[in-house]
Amino acid sequence: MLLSCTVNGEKIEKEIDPAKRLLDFLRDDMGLTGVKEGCSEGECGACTVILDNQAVTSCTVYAGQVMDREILTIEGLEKNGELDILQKAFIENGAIQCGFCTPGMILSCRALLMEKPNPTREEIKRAIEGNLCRCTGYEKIIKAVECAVKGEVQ
Amino acid sequence: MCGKGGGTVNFFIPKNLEELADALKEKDENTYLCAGGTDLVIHLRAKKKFHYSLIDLTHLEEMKKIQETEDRIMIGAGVTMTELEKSPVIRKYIPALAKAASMVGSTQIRNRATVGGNAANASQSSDTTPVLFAYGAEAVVFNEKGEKKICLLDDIIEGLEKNLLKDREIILQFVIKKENALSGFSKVGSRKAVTISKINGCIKATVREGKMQNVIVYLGAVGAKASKAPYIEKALEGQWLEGIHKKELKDAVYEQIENNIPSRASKHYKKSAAFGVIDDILGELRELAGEVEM
Amino acid sequence: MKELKYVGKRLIREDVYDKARGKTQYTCDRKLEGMLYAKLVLSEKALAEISINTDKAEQVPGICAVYTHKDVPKTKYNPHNWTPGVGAPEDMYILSEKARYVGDHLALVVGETKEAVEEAASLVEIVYREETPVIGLKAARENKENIAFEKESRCGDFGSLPLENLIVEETAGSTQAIHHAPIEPHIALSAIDETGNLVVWTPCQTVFMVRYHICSLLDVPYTKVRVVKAVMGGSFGGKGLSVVEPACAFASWTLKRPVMLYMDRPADITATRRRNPSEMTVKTAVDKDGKILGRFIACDFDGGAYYTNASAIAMAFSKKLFRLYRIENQTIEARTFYTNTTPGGSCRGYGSPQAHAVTEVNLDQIADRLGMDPCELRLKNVVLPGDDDPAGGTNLGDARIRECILKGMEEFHWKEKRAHIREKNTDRYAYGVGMACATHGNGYKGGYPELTNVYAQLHPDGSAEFRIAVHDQGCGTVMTMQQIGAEALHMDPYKIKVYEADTFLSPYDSAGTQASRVTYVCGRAVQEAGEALLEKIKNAAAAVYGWEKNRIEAEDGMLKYPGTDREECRTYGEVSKEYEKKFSRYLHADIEYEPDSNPGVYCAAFAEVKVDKYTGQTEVLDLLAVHDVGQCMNYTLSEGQIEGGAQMSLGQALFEEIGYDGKGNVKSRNFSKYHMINAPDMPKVRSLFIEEHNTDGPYGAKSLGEVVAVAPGPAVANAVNFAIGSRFASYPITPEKVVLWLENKEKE
Repeated sequence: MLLSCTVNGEKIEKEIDPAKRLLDFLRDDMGLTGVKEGCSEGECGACTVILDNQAVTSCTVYAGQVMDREILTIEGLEKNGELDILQKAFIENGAIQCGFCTPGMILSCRALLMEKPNPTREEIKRAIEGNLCRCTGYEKIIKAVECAVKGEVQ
Repeated sequence: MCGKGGGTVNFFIPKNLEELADALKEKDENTYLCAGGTDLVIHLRAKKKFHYSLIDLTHLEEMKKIQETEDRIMIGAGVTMTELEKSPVIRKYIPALAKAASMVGSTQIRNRATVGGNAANASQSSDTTPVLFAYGAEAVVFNEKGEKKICLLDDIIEGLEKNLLKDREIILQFVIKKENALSGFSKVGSRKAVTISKINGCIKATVREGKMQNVIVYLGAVGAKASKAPYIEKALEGQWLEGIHKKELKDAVYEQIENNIPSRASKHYKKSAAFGVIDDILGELRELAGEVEM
Repeated sequence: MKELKYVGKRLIREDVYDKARGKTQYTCDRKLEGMLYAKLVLSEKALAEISINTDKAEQVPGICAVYTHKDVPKTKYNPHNWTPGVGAPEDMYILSEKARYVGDHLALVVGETKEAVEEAASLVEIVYREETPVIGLKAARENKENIAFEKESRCGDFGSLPLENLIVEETAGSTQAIHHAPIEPHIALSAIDETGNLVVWTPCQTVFMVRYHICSLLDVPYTKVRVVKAVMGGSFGGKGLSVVEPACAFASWTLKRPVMLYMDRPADITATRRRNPSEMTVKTAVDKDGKILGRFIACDFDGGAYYTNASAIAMAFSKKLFRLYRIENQTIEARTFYTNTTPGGSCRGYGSPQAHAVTEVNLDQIADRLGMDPCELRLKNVVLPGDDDPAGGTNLGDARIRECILKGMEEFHWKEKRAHIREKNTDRYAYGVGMACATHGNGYKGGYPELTNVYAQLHPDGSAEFRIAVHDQGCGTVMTMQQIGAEALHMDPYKIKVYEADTFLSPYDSAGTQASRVTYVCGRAVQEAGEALLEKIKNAAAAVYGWEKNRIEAEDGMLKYPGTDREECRTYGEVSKEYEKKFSRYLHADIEYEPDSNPGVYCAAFAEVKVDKYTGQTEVLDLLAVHDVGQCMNYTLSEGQIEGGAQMSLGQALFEEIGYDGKGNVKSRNFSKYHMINAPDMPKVRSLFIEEHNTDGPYGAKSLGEVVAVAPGPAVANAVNFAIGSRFASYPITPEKVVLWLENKEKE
């Protein structure tokens, strides 16, 4: 079917198999490989993207379902070569180790900040409750978000 | 709107009830209704299904609204957990439903999972079902002929992942009578968050001058589907919210679980955990009662 | 000691810029021209003779091949043998001729698209003729033939102790099967290069091991196989043994096309490796003052369906138990059994998480019996700097466990919390604090071949490169090596390139990125190579400019020389250029390094917990970990190790378990059932470091990445036991176990 939607700010129209997962559509058809697959059942959050301003696991959404919707992936966060403040904060605070969970993690936090620019520590934890990370123990990720919120980023 | 997928499948995106009825007319046993997709996508992959048709329900505005009349609340089946959790109407009239929705899965899942899907999938550990049952929720069921009928939700949920809807029927919305009651929900799983309920529960009660009346209690994950807990109701009816006799309540909870799952090995744990769930909910009711008084 | 300029600083690693932008290409993100996809078909039965029909699968459009045992080389290997010298028994084929566990690799489907491969994999028909499987240690012990390995280790003579006159405490406990849970599942990519070599890109821990396995299985010379360590989305030991590489290489070599073999999460949980479950009894004899006089430990490991690490896990476990407390008489009987479950393999901490899980609880029980503070009991018995290993292992070196405990007690307000924490108790909640200690090693010295090589060069543009076969698993190994190189060379670490392991480019390294050897062994090698290279730069400058060598100072990539009227400066790049021009020499250093030592690293962890007596759930409210690291390489990275290690260890204590039913089916095949700790359940972890700078590691450093995953778990167990008066030594301490224990207590 001819899918029309907006991906990272760009309107696209593409002939696709609507019954493939949004994850596969983004990775294979759009080349947006920042979207990662870690568990294929919405439990690890590595495939998180922002769909109409909300974080969703793209492995539990059919591509056809995003007809006329707007999607933001990690590749769309950078504006004119300038990294998003969360990306900078993750870099500076040691919130990234192996990096496989990172795109999903950053997008979950971005969705949180879109809704609540000044979240509490508990709200940050809740925003990333669906993003598993084996490397960091989450602490430096939470710290990174707190730094981004306070503008303590270089 | 309809599109062809890889192979022979159809993908319907009905935008109104007329289109939905048309899509349902073509629905065969290899066609699945897909709301948030949080269960379906995983389920079909696990079953190694590769070629099937889908009816997408996320573009149907009719199903996405929460509406209020003088004496009723109508919740579209396509309302997401996040929307339920945040809705001022739900928080005011059905606080337990907002709470239950807030405890489903993760943030990402709550942003997609719908109340209709959660009920229709009929999992024994569904978090919204005990609340919907406690409020005597009715379901508006729609079919391929465009007909609507109303039935008690409890009557169309069989449990253990089975519902009693016909092949071409779908739940459009839930209707709940407004009541002057307080309610709370709690659950216990393996973790604090993002966890499947080992036990969950809802208490609904009218609180007058600190005493609980018309107490309704439903427990989930102790049977094929959420079920009424008369032993606990009896123990709570007429009691002071602030001065509950813990020993008697505990005995009632234990008796209830024994009665629900007498032969299951998990009953020992679930008895104690259920007591924790009930204790949590009573704490919530106390908070709510405090807010109401203020 | 001299102040360090680059080592010990919170420098930002270079790989994170691309990782934050989603630009980093992990293996799954790569696409080669003509690339095929491949997926393993896994056994659904724990023990069965099999016959496989691939007809239907082969008919799926786009399928190129469906391989079974009959197609693969009839050569066995042991994925645990990282060099031929390890010599553990070889009993595994690329594809098995018989199903020996649920998850055993039975067929390989190769096709043009993932969709085709997935569909074909579901159509491979396997007829199982089931036999009765051996599931769990209890069943395994029923037949002596199931013993894969057994060994007694001892010092002194426990048997001669007058136990009747001593205080003897016996504790029985167990640890569970753990999934490594890197978020990137196992994957490998293989292709034939332009000159006919077989190239394999894999997120692995030892490229030379993968090369060895592929070469021996496919009967290809070492010189024809190039294994390249790919960007790795986490390992934790899970990618330490070969898993998917041989099958991937086989398909690519046979079809002469690029092949990507990928796994999904259920395969990763069931069909790779796992932390070996263990069951043990610990019997400790002390005098009335709490001095440990002897200990007897009998431990059985579940080795799974193939030999893999059957001997290594038992020996690694035993070794650690002689290196934390001074115990003159100790006997350890360790056995590993074959069962029909997932084979064991390396897993962060290798034997230490099992070794300390039960012994540390046992110590708290002794303290309880003696009415002694658990920290005081440990302080009376811990090893001290310079102690020998009474079982004949390497010297313990600058062992600072005593300082870890003392510093932790102070920071945690241990005495006060221990005395008053229970005052917070309510009818529903019980509070407790507990602590535990742990030790781990620094490489293979004393056990296996332990050497590495470094080739370092200084280029005319002033940049330097180090070739050493390191594998960054995500911890920041490359950054650490850059910092060490920078310190040795007195230059900007960001002008240093450390190439990760590649069998065509890296000089030989005997053991890969495992066994906590990278900072201690490889790091020191990089330091020495850097120092040697700096010497050469100075020599070159002396030759080129006629300077007296001992008056040359190096700083920030420049050589400075006190000239007659003013100081002369030359960049390293200038020296390099001039040197090549005038003397036909390029600046490089080439060293082979074998460490002289393998000391212990130490940790003391302190935990505060809140136990819900109704739901049985335990919440960890506070966790403090004090580590004896010698010298911290980079505090940000080190804290990252400690916080991440704690997540894994707390998971072992409370949540994680690969569960099996009686037929060997895996009950927790995905993250919805296998519960890793997520953000809401993770406490804030406080890290403290003991830095005495007194080791043979680079700038006095020791290992950290594995010992971090050991002590928090038993500290939590001790805290729970203190909170409710239980004696849990079997992990995980689930809500069900807590409730059952409380109910039994009530009945008493």
